[in-house]
Amino acid sequence: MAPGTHDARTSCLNPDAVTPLQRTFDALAKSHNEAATPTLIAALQAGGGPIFDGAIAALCHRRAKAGHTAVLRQWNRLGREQREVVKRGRCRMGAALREAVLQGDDPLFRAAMEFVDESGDFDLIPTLVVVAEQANDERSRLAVELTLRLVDQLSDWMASDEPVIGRDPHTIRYCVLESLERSVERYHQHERPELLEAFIVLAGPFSRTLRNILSAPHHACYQALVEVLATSANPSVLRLLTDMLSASETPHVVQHVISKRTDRPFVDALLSIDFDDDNPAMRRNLAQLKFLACCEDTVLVCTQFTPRQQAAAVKLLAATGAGDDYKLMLIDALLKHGSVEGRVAACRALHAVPGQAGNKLLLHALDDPEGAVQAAAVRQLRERKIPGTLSRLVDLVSSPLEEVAAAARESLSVFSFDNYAARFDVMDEGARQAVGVRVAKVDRTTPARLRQELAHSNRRQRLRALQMAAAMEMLPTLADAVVERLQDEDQVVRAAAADLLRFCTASDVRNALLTALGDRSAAVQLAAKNSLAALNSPLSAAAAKSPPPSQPGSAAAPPAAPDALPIKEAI
Amino acid sequence: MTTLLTLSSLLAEIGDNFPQSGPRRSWSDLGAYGIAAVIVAIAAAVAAQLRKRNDMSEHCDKPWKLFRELCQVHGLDRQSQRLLAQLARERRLAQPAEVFLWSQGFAPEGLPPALQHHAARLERLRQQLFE
Repeated sequence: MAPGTHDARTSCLNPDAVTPLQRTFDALAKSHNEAATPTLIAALQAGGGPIFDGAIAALCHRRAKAGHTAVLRQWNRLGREQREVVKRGRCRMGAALREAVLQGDDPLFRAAMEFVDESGDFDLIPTLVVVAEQANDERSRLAVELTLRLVDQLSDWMASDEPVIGRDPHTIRYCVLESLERSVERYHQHERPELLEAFIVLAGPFSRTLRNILSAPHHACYQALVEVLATSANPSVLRLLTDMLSASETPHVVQHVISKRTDRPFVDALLSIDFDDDNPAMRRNLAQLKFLACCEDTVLVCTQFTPRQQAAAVKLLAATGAGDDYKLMLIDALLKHGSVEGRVAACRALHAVPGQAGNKLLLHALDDPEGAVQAAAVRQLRERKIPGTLSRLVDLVSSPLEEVAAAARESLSVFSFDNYAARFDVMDEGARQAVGVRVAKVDRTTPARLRQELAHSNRRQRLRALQMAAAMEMLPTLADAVVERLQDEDQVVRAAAADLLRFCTASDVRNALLTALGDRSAAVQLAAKNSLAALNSPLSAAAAKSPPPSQPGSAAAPPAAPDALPIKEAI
Repeated sequence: MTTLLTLSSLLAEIGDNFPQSGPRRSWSDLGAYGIAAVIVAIAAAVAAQLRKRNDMSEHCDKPWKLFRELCQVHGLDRQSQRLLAQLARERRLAQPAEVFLWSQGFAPEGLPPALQHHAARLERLRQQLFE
């Protein structure tokens, strides 16, 4: 254990636990006597071994600039573990590091730079900025590179979700940003665009200074700053651009930069953002973009972009203020050559492009082999008011692709059992038949709902349910429920049920009708008799399989028996 | 001034006629008290100096004090301290405390002539300080 790091309590409670040499270094590390520093520096001449290690650790533990400078001079000779010991003492080495960077000879300067790079000492960034601003030489180049690396590290640290242990990165950022802002003000003196990049990385999308510069084309570093935004592939700069897209009052020049950039790192960053429809600032910013250069090359989009990127590209483009022709170009290309995800997104993007050209592409999408694409197209059919849409949608309800059928049902949600039941009484026979058949097809709850209605406590509701079942051509499906009505307490319901059972071909129906012949009501007996007669005739049997329309134009209403009690009148 | 001196002699004679008054005291009678006070002051100063000398928590830059501090840490007796101090002097170390970090300095073959006859004692000290 290094003398500078061992637990002092151990040596107090159990003096035998530490070696005499460790005790010496412990005392030298903690001594208030300044003579300890030159003593330890002299011990560094050992060059290695426990004396050297102990001296390094003790010097790092002491608050003495001369000692820290001596340690830095040994930096290149230190092994991994020794460097770790030195890094642990970096919080006390600030003065020595600053002096080494500003005034140290070349070996000391390089050692200090290496140490700062390895230890991530953000406190030294202001000093590095001062060196970086100096005349173009090797030192300023190294300082610029190190500043950028440290700023990137700090930015990543802030962006990560790691819990803050020790110093808060946002407090460090505040101090570093202050020095970088001063450097930006001195840009005309040093003309180091790398320092502008470091400033942009740390400033973030809401920095007042950054926004002020970007809103002032005559500012000394406006051009340089825009150039950095337009060319830098630094992930933090790219993150700033995409963050600004979702921020309010984004400077126009940033919107322009976003519109124009086509380099792959930027495109990857732009297309990875989570486009939030509910973010009004982002919607507004996108609406102000008149084009997106990265989406212009449709071949590139279809061949080089990942499926997710294709979808994001067309979604973003649809949200921009670009012309419809511009949008249709990408949508068309994606629908023809894109991935499934891209085609689905392209289909959805058509929502933003009304008109004949869009309709044409939408109908083209209905023939897509992928159900997801078809479903996306189906969902827009009704609102686009394309002729023949309704019948096509009704057909699509029977699609073998479940998602297409679901989309068609969703589009035809107006044909619900509730709507039908609410309007049933005001519809004429033809409408009841036409609408009822569609409702039965679209609303999957129809059989269950009709069963509920058939078992209703209200006599009028039960009769109405029989009527609806007949109009919707659901009698064969509900035969058992209708047979149950032969036992109804009300003779009118029993008679109506017996009358309608002529359209049911199940074997137990005939038996039930035979039983109904012995009903106490003559009307029920008559209806049962007629139904049995209809079921026995070959013509009626065929009719039962395919009930003939009661009125011209209606689909398949059950013909009223001449002697049966009309249900409507009974109601 | 003359008036003041005259007045003081007059005042000094005021008590001469009291029945219980003893012989008149002169300044020379206070000499013993003065000497005692000086001795006490010197003793206090020496004590303070000694205390300061051994106060290792005080911030300072004194190489020999650091040497003593390390002697205290290792619990060395007077004789060992003197021997180590002599070794530091003979080796002409810039900082006497370096002797605690330089085990080669204790090697018998390189010892200065003045310390040759203490080689065994120094070897024991080396073991005590480094092993």
